[in-house]
Amino acid sequence: MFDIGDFRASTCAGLTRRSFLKIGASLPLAWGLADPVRSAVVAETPRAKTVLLVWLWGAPSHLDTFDPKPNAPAEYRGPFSTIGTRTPGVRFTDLLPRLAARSDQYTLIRSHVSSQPGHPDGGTVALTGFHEKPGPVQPNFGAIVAKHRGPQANLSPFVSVGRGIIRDSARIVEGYGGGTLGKAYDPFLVNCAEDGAVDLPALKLLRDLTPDRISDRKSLLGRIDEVRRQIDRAKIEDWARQYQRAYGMLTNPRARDAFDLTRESQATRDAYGYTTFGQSALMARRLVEAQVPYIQLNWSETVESITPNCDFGWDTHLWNFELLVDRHCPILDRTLPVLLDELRERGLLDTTLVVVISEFGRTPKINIRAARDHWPQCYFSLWAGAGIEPGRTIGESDRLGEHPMTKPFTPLMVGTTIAELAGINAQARSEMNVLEGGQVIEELL
Amino acid sequence: MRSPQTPIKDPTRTLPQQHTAIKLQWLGLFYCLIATCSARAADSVRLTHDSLFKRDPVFIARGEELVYVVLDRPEQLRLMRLNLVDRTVHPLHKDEMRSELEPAFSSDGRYYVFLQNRGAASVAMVIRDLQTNEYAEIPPAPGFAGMRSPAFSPDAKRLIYSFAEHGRQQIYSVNTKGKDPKTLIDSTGINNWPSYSPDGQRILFGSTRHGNFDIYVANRDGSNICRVTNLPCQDIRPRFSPNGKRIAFTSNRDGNYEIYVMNVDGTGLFRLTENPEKDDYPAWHPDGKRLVIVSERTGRQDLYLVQVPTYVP
Repeated sequence: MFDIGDFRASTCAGLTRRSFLKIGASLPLAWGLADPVRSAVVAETPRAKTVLLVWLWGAPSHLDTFDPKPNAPAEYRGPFSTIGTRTPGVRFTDLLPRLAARSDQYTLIRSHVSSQPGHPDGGTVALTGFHEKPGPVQPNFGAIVAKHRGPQANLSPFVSVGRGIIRDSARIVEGYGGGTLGKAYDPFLVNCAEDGAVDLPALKLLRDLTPDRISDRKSLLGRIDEVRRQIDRAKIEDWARQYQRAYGMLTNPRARDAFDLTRESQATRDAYGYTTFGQSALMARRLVEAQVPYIQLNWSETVESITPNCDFGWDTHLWNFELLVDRHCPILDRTLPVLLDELRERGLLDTTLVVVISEFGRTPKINIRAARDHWPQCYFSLWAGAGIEPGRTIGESDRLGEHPMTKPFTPLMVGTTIAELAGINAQARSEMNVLEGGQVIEELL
Repeated sequence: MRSPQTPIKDPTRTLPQQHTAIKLQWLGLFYCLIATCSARAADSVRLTHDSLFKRDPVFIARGEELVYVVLDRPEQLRLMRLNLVDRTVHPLHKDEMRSELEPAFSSDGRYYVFLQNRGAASVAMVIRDLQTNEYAEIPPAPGFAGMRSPAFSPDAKRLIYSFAEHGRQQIYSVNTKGKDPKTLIDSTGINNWPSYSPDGQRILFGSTRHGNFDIYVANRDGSNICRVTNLPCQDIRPRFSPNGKRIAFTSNRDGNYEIYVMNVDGTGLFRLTENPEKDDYPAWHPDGKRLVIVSERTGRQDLYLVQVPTYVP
């Protein structure tokens, strides 16, 4: 039996491609869910046809990655050496040699500030520009782009690749989705495992349907009724919308292709690495090619598994210096350069904005457990593509990496800049009633 | 000591001294090239084929079995037992749902120790006596805390491990009941991956006391600390060879994580692996002629058995 909720895209397990495709072919196209809606016409061609936000959930240490402080006292600087980059005068730690060798492909900002030190709140601020409370929760930057672009013919305008809605051990990040724009602008979630197996959570409730049953309309409708009885009435509308979008994509060959990593050469899949983040990044590149307007690529949530059933990400309160050596930096330094290289080589980077960012940084002063805690007062981001001049460093932190010495850039400024590059100008933002008071990071443009 | 691949001039030396030093370094480079070529020509045998993330391999049962850690599912690191004779693999703890890592076994086979997750970044150290089937443990300290890298003394009477508090990570020892703690290494920075020499007289460990991770040797009581490596890079996870004469370790000194072997005094250094991807977690086979490593090749992580050249320059 195969599950309609997910499919495996790996060939290394000896599996052929794929029941997912078979199902797509077996679905009745006249079901009424697959009619594509025409894209809204965007008045002007934006610099960024697609935005790819690489979300380093958990918050990497800026001192141990892109903003080292080799001359700081020992209780601040950490153990890592620094290496030169392609950008004159700019050094990274020795954990990132491949990214250092490509610093001419992106621009680094070292003077971000946020206002929330906790993950869920900080995540919402970083992804919406505003605090969760007093509410209502503002829309994710992706939801804003999605609404502005309108429905897409092939794929959802806002896709989040990772392991479900980002969360820590306590709760989800409220700013993950549509916010005040409504749940219609929530991201379409795509989970991608380390072997490339793809899972579409929107279809989970139908996972015990077989191809035979799904082509039997009566059986399918019966199962749907059964599911409707199982779930809260208030959630039915949202669920219906989600599975309609999912099945709309399943019945669309172009959309199906976008999710099918077996269409990639083995060498390409190898290059990204068989980690959740690696294969998810490859999925993200395919979604860029499919012209999805906004893609949020989430860092793999369980790279170390020392926190059960929880999104630990880069949240290295414990064993920071070992974890960065063992797992996080090798994965990032393998996958992100390949992603940037591929976008450039395929001619996609000119019209794709890539932003690599997190909710905050980590304490410059090493904590009692010889690791680092949360630090919203200073952190970094990387920006590439969409006409942004690469190879620059914007902003500077102080000698300990505690605070910006230059103009600080807030999450609201990040979102406003993304929107501007995606073609949502001040008037459009005002009409949508989003990103109020936001300023563009002019230094980037 | 310095890597022969990256000779560095000492400006405090006189010119003739520098010339002599450079000649010696080139001579060392020549010998190392020979040794490295030998290493590169050596066979490696792939022991696992699941391609999943792995770490912490260790030989048991006179080298006929391996215990290692695999990311079995996204939420769990699991201890696995690989029989090298029939190549079967089984979980060491069949029904365990918590993450477990960093296993170590006593040389007499009576005890083993491992780390076990108990909550959000909260890790306990569990010691199992296979003779009595009793468990002892050091529970997690409050908050985010956990022991690291336990290893047994050769006489199987004590364990050595590292633990972070007061902003630095020290090395301690306890008995096999997890009692009678003693501080062995206490310095600024992070001290990790401690192990005893086969004769039990010395301790090998990594430390950031002088900046980046380097390798150090001390007497068994923590006295007489000697720095073995000294390069601005990360030298990590040192392991004594079974005869106590050599050290295998991981280093990014050439820009990528590779396995190196050297004599205990830092001489005779050579690079064992040359792989554009990551090689890590070296563990000596009891015969002292081979290492099992975790090697990432074409994006997949598996265990490989690698021959170690016997020639030492």
